[in-house]
Amino acid sequence: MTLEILKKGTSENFLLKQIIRKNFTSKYKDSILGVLWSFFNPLITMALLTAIFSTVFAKSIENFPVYFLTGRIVIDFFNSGTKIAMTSFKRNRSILNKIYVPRYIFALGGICSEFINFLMSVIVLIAIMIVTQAPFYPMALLSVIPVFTLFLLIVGVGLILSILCTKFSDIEYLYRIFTSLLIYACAIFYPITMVPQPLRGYMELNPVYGIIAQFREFVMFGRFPSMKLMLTTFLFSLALFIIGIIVYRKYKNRITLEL
Amino acid sequence: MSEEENNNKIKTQIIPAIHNTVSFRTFLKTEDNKPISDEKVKYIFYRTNGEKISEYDRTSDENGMTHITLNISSDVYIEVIYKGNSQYEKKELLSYKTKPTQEEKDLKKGHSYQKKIASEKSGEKKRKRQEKIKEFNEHQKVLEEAQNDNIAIELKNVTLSFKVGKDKIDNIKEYVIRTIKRNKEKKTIFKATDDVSLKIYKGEKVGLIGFNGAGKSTLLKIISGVYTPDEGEVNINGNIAPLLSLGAGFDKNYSGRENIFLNGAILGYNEEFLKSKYDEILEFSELEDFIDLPVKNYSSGMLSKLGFSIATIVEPDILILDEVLGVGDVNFRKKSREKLNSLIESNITVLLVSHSIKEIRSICEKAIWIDKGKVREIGEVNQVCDNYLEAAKNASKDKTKKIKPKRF
Repeated sequence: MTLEILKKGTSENFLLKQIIRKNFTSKYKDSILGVLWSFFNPLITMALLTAIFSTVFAKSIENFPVYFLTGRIVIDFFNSGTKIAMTSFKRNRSILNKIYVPRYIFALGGICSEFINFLMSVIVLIAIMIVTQAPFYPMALLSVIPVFTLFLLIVGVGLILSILCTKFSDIEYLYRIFTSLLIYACAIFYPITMVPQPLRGYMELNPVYGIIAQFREFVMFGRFPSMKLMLTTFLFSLALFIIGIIVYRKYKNRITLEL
Repeated sequence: MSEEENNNKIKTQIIPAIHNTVSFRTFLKTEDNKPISDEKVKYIFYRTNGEKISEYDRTSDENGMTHITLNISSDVYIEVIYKGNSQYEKKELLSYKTKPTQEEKDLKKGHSYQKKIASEKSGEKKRKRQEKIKEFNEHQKVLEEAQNDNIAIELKNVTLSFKVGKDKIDNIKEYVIRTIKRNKEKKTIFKATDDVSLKIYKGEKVGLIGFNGAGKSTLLKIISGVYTPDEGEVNINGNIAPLLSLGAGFDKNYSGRENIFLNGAILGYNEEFLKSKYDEILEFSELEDFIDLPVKNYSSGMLSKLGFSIATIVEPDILILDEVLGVGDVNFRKKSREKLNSLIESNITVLLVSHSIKEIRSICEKAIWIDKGKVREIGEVNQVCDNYLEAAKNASKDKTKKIKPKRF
């Protein structure tokens, strides 16, 4: 109640917009190419991995560049989104410690700016699809479903991490290890069929993999993924989203005390 | 010595060196005590060894008096010569007096009469003060009995504690190890704010005083919403402008223009408001020539000018100040103080933290004394300040006693 009165007559949307802008510009502040890195980054790794793996997996993966990019942009969004949310309170401690600002806005703003980055890499994906003459399916538009699921997942995980990060400073380093492991666990540059069965079942439980698989089904093959995969992924993400909000709500008042 | 035989000479007086201004008076009177006016008198000064220093001519006035004032730094003889005839009285012709020395002045100050005046004055002051206090208390009563919507800030039993300790666990590694070893941290709970209840009514100017670490800043942070108390209730009516940190969240790569919008957003302004006030902010900050440069090229003075201009563009209901600050160069300092003063003097509620008791007395009418996280006293500003100063005096006395060096 009190806090609502405090912020009466102000626009949180405006603040969110400003924070997104700030995050976005500060990411490329000292580089000559600036925002263009958002395009080059996935392109370069794609070129590299295509050169290495396209012949190895030639039989099982038809269009390696597109296969790789679809996975890569999703996992990139997940990793950078959760990371930026995790450190958002810490990075803005000078503001949070002096003025009352709804704290989640810093986490959300970070995630949103990474989402813009994601959209830019989608442009790269489309360009590569044109170059490699991959077919475009109308079904590809439905890929907003996994993207939405991904967003929920990132907000949930990001909020949990951001609270943990104010309490434990080494979460940051642990999570960095976790994210690099996650890249290998999500079948980004190898076909999932390579993985033997019992292990593969567990892998499919991973919501990030689930989202990548859905995304590929829609974009690359223009078909509907299995209902089971969609449902488990969505429920998993939703659960994490809700847990994230509960954790944030429970601990938001202690944030400034721990910073 | 003189040309005329019948001249009267007096060479009796030896004046001791007094390093001060000395006045001499000579009264010329007839034997039947009538003054002789328009008579020429010559003063001649000699050193004690007989060497002549200087001479002065004077003419007596209608009271028969001649007068001379000069500085003397060594012992002198003085010779007074006048044209004598039988009508002159020869006794007690000369008198001298000196200006009071510092010691004498001090003595005079302590004079009972002056003391009496002083005590009368302070008595008057006391009476006035008591009247003020009475008036204040009555006013507070009126406010309290009135409807509740005249409250700007209300705290009810607010408590906030920090966990402090040398071995605060701040990483997972330690957390896991300690959990396994069952050697959990020894938590020391420090109550920064302890059961604080207070009411500040609309339009009141309130000063917050207390020693360092008493919990003033914590209380301000609770009121401005940065900290949420563990227990208790905080009620605030109206929007708050905390002037605690100027330019919070400035992005050094942003231009001044972009930072106005960023900082404005953080302060809780909305876009339309900022757009409409943009020119005003720019004009007040005097940074027209630099506004498109990134602020990393700004000097610290320029940064605080910009921050101040953004922070004070609103007309808040409640203004929170940590020391009345003037920022920037001489001109801007004056301007910013004027702006603050006009804000303070308008009809808003002001909460001021300051270590300058003088400032608190001049701005506020109510004071809250915070001591060790608790409210020690709330009341009329002079009363609280006096008590506070008294306590400060005692505290520093105790401390100086402790740190007195030992003689070997």
